[in-house]
Amino acid sequence: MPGSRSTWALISLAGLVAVWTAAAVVLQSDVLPGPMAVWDAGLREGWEFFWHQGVTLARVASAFLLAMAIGSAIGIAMGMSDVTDRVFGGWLIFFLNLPALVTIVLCYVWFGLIEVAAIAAVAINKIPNVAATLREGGRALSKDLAEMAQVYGLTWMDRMRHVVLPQLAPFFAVAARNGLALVWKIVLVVELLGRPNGVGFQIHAQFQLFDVAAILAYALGFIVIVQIIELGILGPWERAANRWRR
Amino acid sequence: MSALDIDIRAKWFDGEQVLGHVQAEVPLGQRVALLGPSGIGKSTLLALISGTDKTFEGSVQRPSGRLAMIFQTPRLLPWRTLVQNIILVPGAEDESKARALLADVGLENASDSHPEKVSLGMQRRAAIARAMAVSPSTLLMDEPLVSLDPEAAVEMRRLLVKAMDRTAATAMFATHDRFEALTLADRVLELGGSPARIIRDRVSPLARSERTAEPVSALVEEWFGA
Repeated sequence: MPGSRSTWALISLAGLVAVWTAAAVVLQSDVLPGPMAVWDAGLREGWEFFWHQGVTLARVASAFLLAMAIGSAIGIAMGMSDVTDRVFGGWLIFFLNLPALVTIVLCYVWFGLIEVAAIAAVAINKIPNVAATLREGGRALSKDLAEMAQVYGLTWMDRMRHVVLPQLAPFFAVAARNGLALVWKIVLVVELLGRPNGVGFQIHAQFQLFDVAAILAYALGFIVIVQIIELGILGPWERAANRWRR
Repeated sequence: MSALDIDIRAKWFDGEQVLGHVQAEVPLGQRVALLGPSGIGKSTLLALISGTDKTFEGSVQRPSGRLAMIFQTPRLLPWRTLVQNIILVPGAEDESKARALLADVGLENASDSHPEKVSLGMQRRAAIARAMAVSPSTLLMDEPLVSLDPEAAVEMRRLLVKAMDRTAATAMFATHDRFEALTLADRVLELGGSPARIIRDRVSPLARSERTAEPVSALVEEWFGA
């Protein structure tokens, strides 16, 4: 029942807004502005609001694509080869447990407060997660179908396209979904620590001014963007990739 | 063109020898049954012949030309339609040829369905169509009639004969069923012992056209007793 599910999601969100409004009315405090105050704060920022959202979106997109490409290559290689898995398994555990803040600070220290360092820091945080997910996918690849492809002499390209990648599609979907959520949160931290623009920078700036309404406006704006990407791109792609299932 | 030349001296699995000396020269176009009880190593032997398993002592020489295999399970790509499953295999010709082959095995109305949306029997027929599509010089079959009810087995056997007739391939199939072996094969290699080796190698006295139920049953009795 997809129709009723999205209806329920709307009802649930409306409930959250209602609770928020009620709390704001009861508290009457600057540290918890109501929805209308947040909306006004967003309007007050004008074009700058969209400029900073756009900058952050561009960083999220580059770091996300970079992490997905490198992470899935590493993960698939580890999942398909025991030797690779044994040699690099420890590295994966190390990087999975490396706190995001440490990577960010080190990247800025080593490469300077530049765009490349910011994107690299976010990607490095995300790559191990993608690799771990796709490694499971690589391990779960069907030996039966691999044998079939070998017997019938499919080329490497055809094996990837028709046999391997379709089996990995659900794992890509999981990695992408978790990835998007993780990446944009780290991007905000990266921006806060060393970038002169973006949502994270703005949150930092508004924090100095103690303007909670503006902080919420920037955060909510980006949540909306992420949801649009989820529902508009990832969702339809996942459905298309699963069309063949019974 | 050379024939299928099998000369395997040993195959080990985890320190245990499963195959001993298995030597056979199969003339072009001959249909050979590998007969033996379950677990004797027939599938292993087919894996060595198909080249999917290269870790053994000895050699296998296949006739030049393409290889096709019909597995115990259909092994179709679930995310491709039946007709796509055929076209994407090297050696299969264009789409109209693939559709004609699917029609030959009674799947004209299911060509554009995904495998999981049709019955298992239909998937197995599609797998036969795929094997025919590549015009193989060698056709390997691993228990192609296993776990089919008697009626489905009759139909499937008819399709396998059609596949072998059409391609004129040198064919080798594994089975534990004597009747099935003598219905389909020109020659029967019996595997036995541990490690398994060929314990008997006999050519069927029945011509292909004579292999109907009664003479085959009589031959089973003559060769293997009651």
